[in-house]
Amino acid sequence: MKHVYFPGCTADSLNSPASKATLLVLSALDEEIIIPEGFTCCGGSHLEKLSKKQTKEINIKNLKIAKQYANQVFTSCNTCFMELSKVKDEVDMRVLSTLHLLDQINFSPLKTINKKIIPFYGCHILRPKLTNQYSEGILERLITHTGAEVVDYPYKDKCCGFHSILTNRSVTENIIKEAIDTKADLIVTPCILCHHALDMFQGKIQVLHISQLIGLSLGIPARKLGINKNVHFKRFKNTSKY
Amino acid sequence: MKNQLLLILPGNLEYRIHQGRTDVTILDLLMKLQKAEPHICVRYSCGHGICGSCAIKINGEKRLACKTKISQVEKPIRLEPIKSDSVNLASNQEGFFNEIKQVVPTKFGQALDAEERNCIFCGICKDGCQASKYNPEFLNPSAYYHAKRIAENLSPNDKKHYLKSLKSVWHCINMYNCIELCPKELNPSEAINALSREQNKIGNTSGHAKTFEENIKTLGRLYEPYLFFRSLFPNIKELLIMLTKYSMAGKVPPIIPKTNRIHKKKKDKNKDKTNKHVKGKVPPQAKNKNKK
Repeated sequence: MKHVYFPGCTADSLNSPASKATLLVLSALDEEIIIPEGFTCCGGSHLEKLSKKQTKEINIKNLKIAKQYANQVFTSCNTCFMELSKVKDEVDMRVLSTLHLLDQINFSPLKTINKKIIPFYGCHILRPKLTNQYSEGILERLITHTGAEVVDYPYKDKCCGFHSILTNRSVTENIIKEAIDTKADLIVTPCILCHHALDMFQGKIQVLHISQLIGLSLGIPARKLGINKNVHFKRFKNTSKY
Repeated sequence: MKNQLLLILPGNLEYRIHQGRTDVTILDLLMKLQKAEPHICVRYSCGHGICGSCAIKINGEKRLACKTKISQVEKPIRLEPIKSDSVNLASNQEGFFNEIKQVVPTKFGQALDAEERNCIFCGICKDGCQASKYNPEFLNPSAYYHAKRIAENLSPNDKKHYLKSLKSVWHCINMYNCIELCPKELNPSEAINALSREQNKIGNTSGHAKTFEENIKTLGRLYEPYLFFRSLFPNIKELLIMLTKYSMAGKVPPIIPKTNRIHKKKKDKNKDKTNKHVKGKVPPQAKNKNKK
């Protein structure tokens, strides 16, 4: 099946390893991915604070570009997912996240991952409830499918602090502190923004994007999935673990 | 025994109450319990979802005790106050109301229209908001909801003075938890966005948000190095700390700005504008970038 990918700005620059891993895993699962040219930045939930009309027009334009190729578009960024979902009814498109897409595809993992994993959803895939895309529980289902153990974590639907990361990092620091207390090995998130925020300002716990975890379970080497570019990996160089 | 309900109060105190009907509310249950155990502290006033003073955590979810029926919740019922610094089940709301007082100016104290005022000051949104939890500068979502209503009712000149005192509205982290939690189904998040738009009109802008607007106009996408500079500009010390942190971590965004705009020459040619990935192979774009 054809899938249109909306990369978003962070996927091309600050957190390209996670975005590349998404494309790699989906092409390994025999899915055809199209990346059209001419997408504009979705506004990142900040443009709305200056002009509501402009945000709406930009995202309608984005969906119209995607509609030339398929009736659904997917993205690996939660904020892009939310911004596109807000206008999806006007263009009659389906907007998905990488999380929903991986849930729809049938695959059997080649490798079992014996780790304790924290599922971290982030905000914009859950709130505000704009779509019928039901996200709760999917992350846990995918983690148990790879053979890993899910750790209960009370902050899994809270904010990672990405949107205030330059000015106030206490939100992110608290999330990490609570995560270390659960004694889990990994945090897995479907959002590249959460992945960046949680990985960048620590080094004590490994953070993976959901496509990187699925990639590992499919037997793709960690280096190809861009896990060696994580801050945690650079500090401890524990290649043998993956 | 049948028709017996198990209530767990703070401090793991367990109470069994005989209750035949399932359409009674949690507040009714607590009133019944308080008659037998007078030391239990419960705060309530109207009893039908208008005053908001009975907000408590029911099985971990923040709700109004008077609007939640026994049939709607799982058993056993675990009750907690919505904040940790509380007496028994009644939360200390002092911080919440101090923040509300900050947005209600003494001069325009009567500006609130009682009929249109839907917020019931239950304080649930403050507890769920991480910006007001970790950032002392940010007030609570309810305070901004009222500030928006006050600002609408002021004359243009007064409005300008009033908005200048509300610069902290830019500290919102767009978590949207306030919309989910509000028992009256209000939208404080939209009120914060509307206040930000008003702030922008009088010149109190945030460099962070402005970067999105400027970059979309010129490049069609975000240029991160410029975002760093605009967000942190007056604070050069913090800017240097962030730059060293990012370069130490090896996560430096590309310095040469990319653009998402399609050039006119390309449009004229009837070329296929897509990067199609062949089935089962590594996408060509990912390959090229790995080489660098």
